[in-house]
This record gives sequence, C-alpha cells and structure tokens, in this order.
Amino acid sequence: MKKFTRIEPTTQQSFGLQYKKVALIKRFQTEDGKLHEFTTFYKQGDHAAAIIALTTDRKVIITYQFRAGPERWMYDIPGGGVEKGEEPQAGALRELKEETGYEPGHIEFLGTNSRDAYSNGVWYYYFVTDAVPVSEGRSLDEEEQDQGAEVRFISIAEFLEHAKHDRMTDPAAVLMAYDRLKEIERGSK
Amino acid sequence: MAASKMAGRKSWKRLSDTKIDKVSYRTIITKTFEMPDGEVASFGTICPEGQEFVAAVALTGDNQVIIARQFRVGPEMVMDELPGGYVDEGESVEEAGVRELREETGYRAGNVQYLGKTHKDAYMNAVWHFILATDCVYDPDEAHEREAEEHVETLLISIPELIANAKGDKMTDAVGVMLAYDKLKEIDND
Repeated sequence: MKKFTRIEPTTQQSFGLQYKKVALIKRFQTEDGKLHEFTTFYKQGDHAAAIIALTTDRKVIITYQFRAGPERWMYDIPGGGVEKGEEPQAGALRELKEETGYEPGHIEFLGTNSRDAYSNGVWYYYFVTDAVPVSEGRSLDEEEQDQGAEVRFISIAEFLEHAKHDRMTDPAAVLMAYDRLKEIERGSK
Repeated sequence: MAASKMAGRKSWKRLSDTKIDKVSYRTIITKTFEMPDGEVASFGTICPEGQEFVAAVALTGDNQVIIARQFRVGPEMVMDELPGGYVDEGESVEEAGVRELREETGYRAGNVQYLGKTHKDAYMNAVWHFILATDCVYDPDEAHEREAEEHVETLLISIPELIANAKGDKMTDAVGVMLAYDKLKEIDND
C-alpha cells in the first residue's frame, strides 16, 4: 500500500446557487514520485454534530424534511454545522434546540464518524435522554424553513426501521446507540 | 404554517434548469425545485444522478471479516474499509459487490444476501448498497494483483473488531455494519 503525502496547492470551488456547497481539490504525492489529485467535498475543519434524542417518555425526536439529494422527504436526527469557536457538544445542543425546541436531560458522547471517503470534516454524535421542551420553541434558519422541516416523535422501533430502510439521511450514528436503544426499548415494554 | 407545509408535502417539483459541472473528475449538480409555497430554490448536490456503489460485509468460513485497508483522501487517514466500488452498467448490485470483493481483496464470495442501502448525506445523489457475503475463499485473480500493488491491503479482523471500527471512525461505511449488525451478532454468538 502506497503512502500518500499531502502537497499544495489546494483548490476550492463552490457550487449551487443560494444554498452553496464547497468542493476542495486536494493534491497528494506517493513515494514513487507520482502526483494524485482528488476532489473532496465540504471544507476541512468544518465539523458537524448531531444528536439521537429521547424524550422523557422514550420517543425519539426526529426532523422530517425534503432533501435535495434523494429528492424525497427524509427523517434526520437533529444536528448541523459546528460554528467557529464552538465546542461540538455545544453545537449539537444548539441545533437540537433550534430545530426541535428541546434540551436535555442527560447527554453523553457517542463517537465521531467520517461518513464518506471523499468528505472533509468529522461528525460528532451525542445521545440525549429525558429531553424536555424549552419555553421559546424552535427557531429555524432559512434553508431549514425552505425544506419544510417538521418535528416528529417516533418509537425506538420505528427509528431503527427508518435507519435500515434509507428513510434517514444520517444513519451512521444509529450503530453507536444501537445497544442502548434496544435496552431502553426492552425496559419500556 | 404547519398546515400549509403538510398540505404541500408532495408538491416539491423539480424544475428543468439543472446545471451539471465537473470539479476535476467529480460531478456536481445544481438542482432547482419549486417549493410548496411556490418559491424556487436551488441546491448544490454531489455525484451523478443514478450512480450506485456497493460494499460487502464479507466473512470467511471461520467468520473473520475481510477488510480492504486503504488511504482515504477526505479524512486523510488509512482506514479499514469494507471492500466495494461502483456498480457498473448492466450489473446487479450483488454481482458488483462480488466482483469488487474479488478485485480488491482476492476473496471469492460464497453466499450473498442483500442488506440495504443509504444516501449517506442529504445532498448526495448516489446510493450506497450493502451486501453480506459469507463463506468467502481466497482465490486471487489478475485484477486483484493490480489493485493490491496500487493501493489496497487485505487483512482479516474479528466481528467485534469490525463493530468497534465502525463505532470508532476507523471506516467510512459504518452504515453497512449497522445494516448487518443483528446478523453479525448472531454469527458471533454461535
């Protein structure tokens, strides 16, 4: 297996109209002197955070919105980009509050995930139990409003089914919480 | 507002002014939609529409997991990946998974079953399919020799190691392990 060393320059290009995405052309050199160019997506160091959140009656808090990739309505765990200078956990909690109008309860770190071989940035995942509504409610940004994001409360069994049947855009975190969710599901029966 | 969004759920309409660009060799597509409220919005999305990938959770006869260790340019780490790649034109998902497994690792699949699929990302056009291949046997061909020399190292790990890797950011196809999880637990407990 060849060893890759990152070399400059790196080229950045944005695409999309009002809701832009970034593509980053990275360059690498292998030991044999060969140069390799790869197009990756999202900016380096732009991290995101998301939460699998359960209410006090063990319902999963999930958003439901139209998604431009699959071109259909998809379930999503609450989350989004971590802002500059923000801790990932604080970013996850801010997104939970903005998108769903809920706050913990109890929070624990689940892990990180690089969801694609050609994506930059890491996703941080958290598990929240006993989430309760905040008095001020939700506050959506323009993109979330445009996508018509709704909040749903579903059973753990339904949540796992959505993750397994391509009805969720972000199922990577589900594995990290799988045993806990099954345990809570058994306990609540 | 909630009521109008509910009523308009099915009324997102794709408009014809799609813009397809290349960034180096990758495709990016700007899609335009008429939203439920009648306004128009465009979104940047990744990969060609209709593109499909497949990766295999592949086990040997004694239930070791076959891994394609390789450098990944997004995370910039050497990762212990599930063998996989593009589904070619005219090929079934299962056929492509079996072919990629053999090219990348030199293993020939025994039994194959379909696990499921994911879009990975809200702005991703491509679909990732996952298969479970059991009773795989080492039987390298020429395509594998070229691949191994270039960039892939084959190794065998245990099922608990695979699950730990998927939870611990050591692979990019953790969704495949989630889809195989119940079956892997069953096999590991036998």
